[in-house]
Amino acid sequence: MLGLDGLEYHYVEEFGCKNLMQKSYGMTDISEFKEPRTVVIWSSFLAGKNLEERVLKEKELWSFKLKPEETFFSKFEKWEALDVPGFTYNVEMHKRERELLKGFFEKKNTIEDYDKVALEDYKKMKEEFFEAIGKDYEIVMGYFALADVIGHLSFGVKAKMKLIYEELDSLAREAREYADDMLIVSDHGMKAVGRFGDHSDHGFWSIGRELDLGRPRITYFYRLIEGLRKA
Amino acid sequence: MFNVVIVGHVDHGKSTLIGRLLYDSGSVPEEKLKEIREVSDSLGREVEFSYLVDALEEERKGEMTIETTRTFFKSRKRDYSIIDAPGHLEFLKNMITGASQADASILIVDVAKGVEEQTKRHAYLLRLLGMEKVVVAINKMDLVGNDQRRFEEVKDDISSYLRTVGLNPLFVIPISAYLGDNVIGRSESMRWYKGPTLVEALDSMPERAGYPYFRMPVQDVYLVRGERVYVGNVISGRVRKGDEVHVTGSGKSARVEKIIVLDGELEEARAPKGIGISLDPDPMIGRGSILWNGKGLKGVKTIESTVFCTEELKSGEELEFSCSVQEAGCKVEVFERIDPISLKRRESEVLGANEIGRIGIRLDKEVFVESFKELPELGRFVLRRKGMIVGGGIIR
Repeated sequence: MLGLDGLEYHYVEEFGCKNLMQKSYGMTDISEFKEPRTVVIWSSFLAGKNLEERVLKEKELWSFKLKPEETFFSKFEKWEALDVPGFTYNVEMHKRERELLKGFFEKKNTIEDYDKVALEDYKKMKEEFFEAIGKDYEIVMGYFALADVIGHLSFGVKAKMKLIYEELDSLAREAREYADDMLIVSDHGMKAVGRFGDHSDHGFWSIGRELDLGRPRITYFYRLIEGLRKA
Repeated sequence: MFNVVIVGHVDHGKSTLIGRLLYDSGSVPEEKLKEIREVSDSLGREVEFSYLVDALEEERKGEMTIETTRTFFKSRKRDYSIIDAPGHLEFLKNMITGASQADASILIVDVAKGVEEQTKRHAYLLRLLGMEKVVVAINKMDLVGNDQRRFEEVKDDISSYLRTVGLNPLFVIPISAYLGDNVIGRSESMRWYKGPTLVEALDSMPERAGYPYFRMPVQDVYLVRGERVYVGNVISGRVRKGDEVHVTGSGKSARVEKIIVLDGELEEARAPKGIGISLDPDPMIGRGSILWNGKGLKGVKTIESTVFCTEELKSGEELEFSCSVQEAGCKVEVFERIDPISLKRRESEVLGANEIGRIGIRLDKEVFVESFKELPELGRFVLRRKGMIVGGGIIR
């Protein structure tokens, strides 16, 4: 499973990312949330229920952590969840990205400094992910923040975003070679605000089989994953 | 500024060509390029030129003086503005309403796919718009191994079609917008091609010669300290204080007393220039007249023209006609519909939206026109129904 933060449905189509689209793809409905917050949506995705109220009680959102038994991973014997917000998120690793984002607006660093760290973190995650899917797990979920992180400062710079989406498309192609089936989900998409990007009101999903899901709520996937496990 | 429109089938590489022109001419800000290049280097991926245009558009937001539909680049010889036509309908609408005025056009054809229906449709529209300076760029030569024989085949196909519609391309150039071959730099992979690169071809085209005679459509009349001042754009020629000018439709003539601009008065005004003029004796005219001297203007009450319709048009319909500032009522008669691909003509009394056909226009008063080729501002017209544009064409 690929959790691609901030992956925008419209860019996936516009850039012709066939591997991200897989056999069936569409938008997710996240209108039940007051705001498309990353930790809230991923936590709700993992738990199969809207956890907005509970997550927002947390002082530091990024530190919110579900127990395995609260997630669909509990349905599996051997699983791995890499860097998933609301569950196994590596707060320390992403700290630098957030500092540089703030630093850009305070004119302390450049976009290039910020992009560099985002790309380094992505590559590190990619290595860990491929190491994990080479092992004997029933399910592996890799979370990649690249589209979201780069998108926040550059969603309107299409030449750059095209490179990012191409990279994620090839990530999906390579990952699919290891798996019987693959689900790709984003928490939300993005919309351009000048050169910058803001969270949009829909997410993205795709699966490697013919399935007409329409526009499912993010919490629907819990049941889908459970069903696939039983099958 | 030399205005160039790029037309052709949607998948034949128009955006990539525009991106390449911007990149190779150094028109993308270095800072922006560096930012994109660093990501491409880090991921080991090639930058796609077709998206560079968007990178520039985003830069321009907030700069209200620059049209976002235009992209600019510089050659060694001059400044260019590329008219970006997202679709041929937008381009056509802009051309007939005067929003865009192209000095030359590039018709782009994918060498692997050859001449397709949309290529022909666009070529026909160039003809319809009176475009004579046409360069054909046969693109994606890298995909056919820079094969000269395939280039010649496609060149023959497109040249033959263009001849049938009455267009003679000035150059047919094999290019690879993706690799930059024969766009600005000469291709090492196509040494068999001895002609100019695309930009050399554009550079060799002369600027549109200004129409020499004074023409100024009157847009408005202001009363300044008790004196009537006729306001408008000098669209051709020049006018000096003391010159005798004539007024269309009235038979009146007068001397130029003052040429007024925002910050004072001028002795002389040359096109293009927005001015106010006071005349002696005051001809007491209003918006819609044209001040002129030199060669006389042609007054017409009937026009026969090939038009492009944006809405359905029926024989016998009464519509509003406008050409520059001139407005008149008119009755149209549809003669035939023209298929821009097969070039077949079929008698018809109706033209549908987005269709092309030959029509007759009977005006309820005389209007004054020039041929589009000589003076586009007075050589194009639009037809309106209750204020909404339903079609337009040019005067040959």
